[in-house]
Amino acid sequence: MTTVVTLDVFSGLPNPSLQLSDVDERELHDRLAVATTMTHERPSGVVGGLGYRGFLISSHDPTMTAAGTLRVHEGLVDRGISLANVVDNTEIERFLLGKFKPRLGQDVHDHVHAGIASVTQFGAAAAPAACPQCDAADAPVYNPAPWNNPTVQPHNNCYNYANDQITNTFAQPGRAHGQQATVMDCAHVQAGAVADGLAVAAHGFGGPLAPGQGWYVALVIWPGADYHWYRQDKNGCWSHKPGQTAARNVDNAGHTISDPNRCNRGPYTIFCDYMVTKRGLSIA
Amino acid sequence: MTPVLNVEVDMFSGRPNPRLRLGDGEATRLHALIARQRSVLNDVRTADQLGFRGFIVTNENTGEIYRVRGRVLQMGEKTYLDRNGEIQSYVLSILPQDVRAMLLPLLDAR
Repeated sequence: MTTVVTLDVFSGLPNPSLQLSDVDERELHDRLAVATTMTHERPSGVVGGLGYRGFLISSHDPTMTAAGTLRVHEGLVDRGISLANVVDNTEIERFLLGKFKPRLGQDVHDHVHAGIASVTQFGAAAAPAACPQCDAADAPVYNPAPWNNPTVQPHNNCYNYANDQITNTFAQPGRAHGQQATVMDCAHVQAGAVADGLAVAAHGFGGPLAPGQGWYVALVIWPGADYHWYRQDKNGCWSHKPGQTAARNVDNAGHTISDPNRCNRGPYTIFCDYMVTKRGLSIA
Repeated sequence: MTPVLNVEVDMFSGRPNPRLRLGDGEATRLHALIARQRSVLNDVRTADQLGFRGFIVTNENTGEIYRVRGRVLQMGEKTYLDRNGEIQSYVLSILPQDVRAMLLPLLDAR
């Protein structure tokens, strides 16, 4: 039997591959055999993406658990479109990464290791981050249901959500006051928000805000492209609404957000500032 | 009848997504790519994170809406495999340069 494993991680360079020894083949076969929890979930690696996308296992042995190439990624063993998948909880990925370690640069190994480590146990809720206490008396309660209503969701964006105002106008910072930002950088977007009545937080998001003084929000930028807002809810954690998608309280990696300056924000790499908004402001 | 297709690039959070209405030739070509026979996929999650979430193609003649991301084509309740990613590749090729420039760093360049 011949088993070749490919680490699917690169975009321009060829992906590294190795042929397993007989001993490692048997161990991989045993690990696959005990992964018996079925699922219809598929790992994101099947549809591509930048960075770590799992391990591809090609075996020339008809007695293997499944025919053809398997993809192991995000704690799942993807067996292709005609078979149900099984849950592994990243044990196989960790095993295979160990086999590749001598061949990888430290940065690539660390990237893959981090990708594997970021997967929470399948079926279990993500361990809650230690969100700080919320000191804003008027902070909204996290309740995404009204925002994720089909008549609301497509027409209200991150700025609507951060300000807790459903306008159905896909509100833009500054538009209500003739100062809509046309340049996607911190200075211009922030100026638009200030025109709407938001204020830069003087001391991060830790200071108390009395009734009537509002709650904390945060502005981030996808350089030259777009902006995004987060808001701190009454429970101290942060939530957001990416464009016309659903409001949620996790970041791009599925983790609870204790501080938007330190969460996974995808291409919104620039953190501008914490700001304060409040009830009664006019946005459009 | 020539299809009338609109393409929305679902990628922004604050600003409205870029949209374009395809010319006749582009619409005919894209419609043909979408209409090809493809393998069915099971339970592929729709992307909803910050950043690129896919192309939303609307057929104004029929009201049908398709979502394309990487090698996945979603049509209503069904999901199909676009093995070579030809639909996404074609849409990328007809996007305005500024939109393509924002998108390319976010895509898998395999």
